Amino acid sequence: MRLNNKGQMVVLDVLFAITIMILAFLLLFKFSETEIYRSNSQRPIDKLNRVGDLSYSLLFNSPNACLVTDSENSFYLSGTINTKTLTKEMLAIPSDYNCNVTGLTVTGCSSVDPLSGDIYVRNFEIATCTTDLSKQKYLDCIESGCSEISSASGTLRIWKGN
Amino acid sequence: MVKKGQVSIELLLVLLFLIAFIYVYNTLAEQTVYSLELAKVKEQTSDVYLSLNEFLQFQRSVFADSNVTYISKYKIPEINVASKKVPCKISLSDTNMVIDINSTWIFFEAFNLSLPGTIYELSSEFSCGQEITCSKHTNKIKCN
Repeated sequence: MRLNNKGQMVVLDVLFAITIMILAFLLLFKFSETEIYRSNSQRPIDKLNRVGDLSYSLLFNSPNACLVTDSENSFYLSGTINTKTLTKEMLAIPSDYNCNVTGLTVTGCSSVDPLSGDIYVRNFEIATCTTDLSKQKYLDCIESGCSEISSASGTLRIWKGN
Repeated sequence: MVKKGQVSIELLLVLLFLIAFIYVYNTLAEQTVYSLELAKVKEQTSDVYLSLNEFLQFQRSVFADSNVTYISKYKIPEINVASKKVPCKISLSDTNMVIDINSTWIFFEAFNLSLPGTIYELSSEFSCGQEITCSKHTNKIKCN
């Protein structure tokens, strides 16, 4: 820092340093703003996808799948659905989310799609049953078909409620 | 002509400006970093809820099979910011999960879920990083 012949202080170094610091701060601020915006806007979408994927997995697995029993054992047929009693709660859909399922009757999932906003959508084609099957009946169904197992196709839709 | 008093006042003003500038700059920078880290903590809080919910919901599949005796273990994710561990408390009930953060950031987030009391017997409180053990007890899934 020194004085010129008019008695003014020349602090160019300081001014340069301050300018660089302001620019650095603006850069940090812009980066932060972008990062916070990305996080806030992406979080509900990630959450919706995770809720949807979980529901979709539960839809096709025990205890919602068709059960085959004989005198000694029982097992669930993965990838099938027992349509007897399907509820929104069994699909682990939280109460603040709405759902709609076509092709199957799922109690609590008959909301009307929203006009705007993000919706999780999965189409499916699946074998369905309405009762538990005996092992012999299951084997017969595989060999020559039967009325106890039929096929259904539909769509699972989930979205965040208001 | 430059007087000595004039130099002192100008120097003082420059110093005052510098101090004020550094203070404001530092405060703004701290606030920005705070907001940025808060967003990261909230993101991880959401992830804790989702992953714990997924683990608990999948227990139903195993529970449904009456022939199986099982024990399953799961470590709840930790919340970290810049390699600093953020302690959190998780309160569970049949219908919601509350994640309570009480450190540099003080807030809680409540999430809806569905863990029927007819199927689950859960400890009411967990913490992040804790290992949960779920096993089948007579007609319920017991997790603690």
